Amino acid sequence: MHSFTLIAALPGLDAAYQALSSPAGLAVVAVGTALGIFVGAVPGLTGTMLIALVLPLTYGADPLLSMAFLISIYVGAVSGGMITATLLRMPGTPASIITTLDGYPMAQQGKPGRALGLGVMASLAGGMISWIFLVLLTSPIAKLSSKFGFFEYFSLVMMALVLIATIGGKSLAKSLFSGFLGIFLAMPGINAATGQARLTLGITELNDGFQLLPVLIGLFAVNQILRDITNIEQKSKPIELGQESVFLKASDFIRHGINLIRSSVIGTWIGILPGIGANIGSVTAYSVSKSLSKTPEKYGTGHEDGVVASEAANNATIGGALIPLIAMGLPGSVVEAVLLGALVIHGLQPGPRLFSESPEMVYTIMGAMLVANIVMAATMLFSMRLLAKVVHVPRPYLLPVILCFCVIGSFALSNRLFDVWVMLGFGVLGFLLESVKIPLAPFIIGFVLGPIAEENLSLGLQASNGSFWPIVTQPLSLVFILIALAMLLVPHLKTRLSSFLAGPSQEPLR
Amino acid sequence: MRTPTLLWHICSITTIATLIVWQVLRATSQPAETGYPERPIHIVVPYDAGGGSDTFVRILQKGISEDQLLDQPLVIINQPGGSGTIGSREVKNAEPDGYKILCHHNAIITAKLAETVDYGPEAFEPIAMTGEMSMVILVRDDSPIKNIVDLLQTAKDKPSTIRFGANKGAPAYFTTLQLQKAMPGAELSIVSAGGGADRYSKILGGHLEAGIFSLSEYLDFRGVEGTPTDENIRAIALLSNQRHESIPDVPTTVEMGIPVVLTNANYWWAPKETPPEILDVWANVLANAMQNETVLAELARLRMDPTYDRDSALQERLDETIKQFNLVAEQEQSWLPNFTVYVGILLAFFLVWALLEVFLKKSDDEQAASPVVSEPFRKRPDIAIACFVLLCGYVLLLATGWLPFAIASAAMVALIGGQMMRGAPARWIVLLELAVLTGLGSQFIFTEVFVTPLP
Repeated sequence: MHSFTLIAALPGLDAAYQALSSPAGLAVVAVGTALGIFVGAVPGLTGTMLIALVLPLTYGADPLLSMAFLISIYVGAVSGGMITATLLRMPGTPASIITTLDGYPMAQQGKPGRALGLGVMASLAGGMISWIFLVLLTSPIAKLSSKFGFFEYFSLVMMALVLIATIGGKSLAKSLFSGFLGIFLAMPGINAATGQARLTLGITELNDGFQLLPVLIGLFAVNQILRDITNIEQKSKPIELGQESVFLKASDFIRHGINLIRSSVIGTWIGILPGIGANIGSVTAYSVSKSLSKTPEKYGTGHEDGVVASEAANNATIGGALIPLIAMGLPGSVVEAVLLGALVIHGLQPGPRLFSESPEMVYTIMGAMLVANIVMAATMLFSMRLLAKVVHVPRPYLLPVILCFCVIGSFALSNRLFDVWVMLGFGVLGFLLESVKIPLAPFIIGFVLGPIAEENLSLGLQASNGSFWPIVTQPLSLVFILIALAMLLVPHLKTRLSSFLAGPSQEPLR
Repeated sequence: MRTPTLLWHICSITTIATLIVWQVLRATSQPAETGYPERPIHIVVPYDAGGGSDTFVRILQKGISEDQLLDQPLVIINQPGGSGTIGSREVKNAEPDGYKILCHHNAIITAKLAETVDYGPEAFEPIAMTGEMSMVILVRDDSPIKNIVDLLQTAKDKPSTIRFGANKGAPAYFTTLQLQKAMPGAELSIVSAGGGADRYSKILGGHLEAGIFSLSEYLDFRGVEGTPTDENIRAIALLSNQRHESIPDVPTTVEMGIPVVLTNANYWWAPKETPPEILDVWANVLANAMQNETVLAELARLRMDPTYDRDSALQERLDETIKQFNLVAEQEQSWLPNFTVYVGILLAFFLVWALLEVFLKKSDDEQAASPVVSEPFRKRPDIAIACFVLLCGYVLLLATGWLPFAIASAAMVALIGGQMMRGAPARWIVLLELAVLTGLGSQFIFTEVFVTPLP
C-alpha cells in the first residue's frame, strides 16, 4: 500500500507502518475495535467511558500501540451503537439515536439484515470519506474551522434544531412541545455564560444539570425495557435474517451514493467543529437528507435513506474530529479530550507542533483509523447473524442484564448515584410521553442542541456588547439561518402546493 | 437445543467458580494492618479523566506508588461537573477519616465568590499545595497590542472593543477584573469562551482579541518557527513578579507596573475535622512525592513548577489569594436575555396547543401506522411496575451500601427476571446462573481491570 519512496519521503511513516503492521499492532486494533463495538452496542456503556477507563492501563505501554488501541475503540464504539438501535430500539450510544428512527421500523418489517448491512456499509463509507479528508486536508481545514465565531455556531446549531419541527409524529404541536421540553430540561445547572447556577430548586446535585448519558439511557433504554415488559406476553414475530443478504450490491451504492457522500461530508464537517460531536453529525445529515428528499414522509417509517444518512454521518465525525486534534491540538469532544490526555501522558506535546515533532504518532493515528474502519466493517458483517440472535434471547434473561449495565453506566459517568436516579426518572418520563404519542426524537434533539445554541448566542452577545445583528450581518451565519428557514418552511409549502395542485377533493398527504 | 444449553451450563459454572475463587483470594489476601491507612484511599478529582487536574494527580499517584510512600493504593475518582463543585462537595460531606481526599485548584476559592456554592476553602482542612502553573496573556501574533499596558490603554481609550476570553466565575475572570481595576477606566468585553482550546481557536479566528492561558497551553499551542503571524499566538505578559525560564523574553505584569499576579496552584484538601495525624501523614507523603524523580521530570514536561507549601506557608498563600480575589468580588448583574423564561413561555404555549389539538380532534385518526400487525395479547403493566419498583429498591440498596455490589446486582437480575417470567416463561436455573455471572463478572471487570469504584 505504501510505496518505499513514499516511506522515505515522509519521516515517521515508516515507524507508524511498522507499528501497525506488526502482529501486536494488528491484534491491538482488532481487540480495540471489537471492544468498541461491544460497549457501543450495550446501552449504558459508551466508547468515551471505555477510553477513559483503559487510559490508565496504557501508561506503561508503547505510545504508538496505545494510541492505535484508543482510536480503534473510538471507531468501534461509534459503529456498534447501531446494532441495539436497530434490533431493540435502544441506541447503544448517543451517536446512534437517529438510527433508531428508521433502523428499528426496518427490523420490525422483517428487514433487520438489510438495515444492519446498510448501516455497516454507510459507516464504512463515512469513515473512509472522512479519513480521506483527514489525510489530505488536515491543515487547511483546521485553519478554516477557526473562522467560526460564536454567532456562526449559533446559526449552524439552529439549522439542526429546526428538525424538532419536522421530525417525529404527525402532530406539529406535540413535536414542538417535546422539543421545547428537551431544551427546557437541559437548562438547570451552571450557566456556562454567567457561571451561575439556575433552576436547581436548591438541589445541589443539580448544579451540574441533567447529564446526556443518564437522560438518554432513561428515555430510550429504560423506557423501552418498561414497554417490552408491558408487552411481554406478545408473541414476538421471529425476526430472521433468513436468506436475505447483509452484503450490498453495486446498485445499492449507486442508489445511495449521493446520500452517502453528502452525509459523510456533513458528518466530517460537524466533527471538525469543536464542541459538537457524533450525535449532532447524524442529526444534521438526517435533517438535510430529509429536506432534500422527494419523499420526506417516508423518513421515520423504515426508510433506507434515513439509516444511511445517520450512520454515514456519525462515523464521518471521527475523521473530522481528529483533524483539529492533530493539526492544532483542539479536542472536539470528551473523547478527543481524553485522547489528548493520552498524548500528554505518553510524553508528546499536542498542538500545532505535533506534526513536525512526532510525525510517527500522527501517521499511527491516521493508519489506526483506516485499519479500524475496515476491521469494524468486516467484524460486523461476518458476525451479523450472531448479532441478530440477540433479538431471540428470552426477555427475562436479556432485559435485567441490560438494566444492570444501565445502572453501572450512569453511575460511572461521575461516580454518583444521582445520575442513576436521573436515569430512572427520565425512563418514566419517556414511557409517559410515548404513551400519549409525544415523540421522543424532538426531545433529545432539543436537549442536545438547546444548550449549545444558548451558550454560543450568550457568548456572542457578550462579545458584541449585546447586539443581535451579527446573526444576520456575518455572511456565514446568515447562510445557515437562511438554510434553517428553508428547511423549516419548504416541506410545509411543498405539501400545501401539492395538495393545492391535486385539487380540493384530495386529502393532503400529511 | 440440548447442546447449546449444556454448553452454556458448563461455561457459566466454570466462570462462576473462577470468580468465586477470586473473591475468596481477595478477601483473604488483605493483611490486617494497624494504623492509617487500612484500606485504599479515594482521591477525588473534580474534573474529567484525561484533563489537566487528572493528569497531575495521576503523575503524583505514580510517584507515590513507585516510592511506596503509602501502604494502600490510591484510587482516583473523577467527579466532573458544576465548575468543580460536584467533586468538592462530595469530599466536604465525606467522613473526616482520611479516606477521601480532594485535589483542587484556585477554583475552590472563586466558586464561593461567584456564588456557585456557599462554601470555600474554610470548609476543608488544607493539607498542602503541590505544584503551580504560571499564567500568561495571549494575543494573535499580528495584533498591534505589544504589552499589557498597551492592552489596558486600548481598553481605556476605546472601551468594550477588546474581547477578552476568561470564564465567568473562574480564577481567570477575577484576575481580569483586577487588571481592569489596575487602570481605572479600562473596560474589556469579558467573554466566557470555554476551555483553553476553545479560547485559542477563537483568538486565531479573530473572535477574541486576547485571553488568559496557562503557560503550558501557550507553549503547546505556539506554532513552529516561521508560522505566519495571523496563524500564531504571542504572549504579551506573564502574570507574575518574576520572569519564567521557558519564556525569558516575555515581561511580567509586575515589571510593567500592573501589580496583578495569578498562578494555578494545586491544593490538597481533607474534610473538616480530619485528625491532624492523618493530615501530617498526607503532607509528608506529598512532600516526598514532590521529590520523586519521575514526578519532577513529568512536571517539568508539563511546565509546572514543583513548588510545595504546607502549614503556615500554605495558610499565608491561601489568605493572600483569597484577599486578592475578594478585592474585585462584587457580582455584576448579568444583562443577558433570560432564556429560561422565553423557553418556558414557548413550552407552555406548545403544551396548550397540543392539549387543544388532542381535545378538539378527539383522536380522529387512530391510524394503523404500526407496520407489524400482531395477534392480540394481554398487556402486563403490573409486571412493568413490579420490575420498576424492584429496580428502585436495587438503587436504594446500593445507596445505603447494606449489601455488596455483586450480591445486590445478582439479586436484582434474578428478581426482575423472575417477575418477567410471569409473562414469558424461561428457565430458572439459567436465570440464576446469569444473575450470579452478571454480579460477579461486572465487579471483577470494574474493580480489577479498570480499577474504578462501584456503588
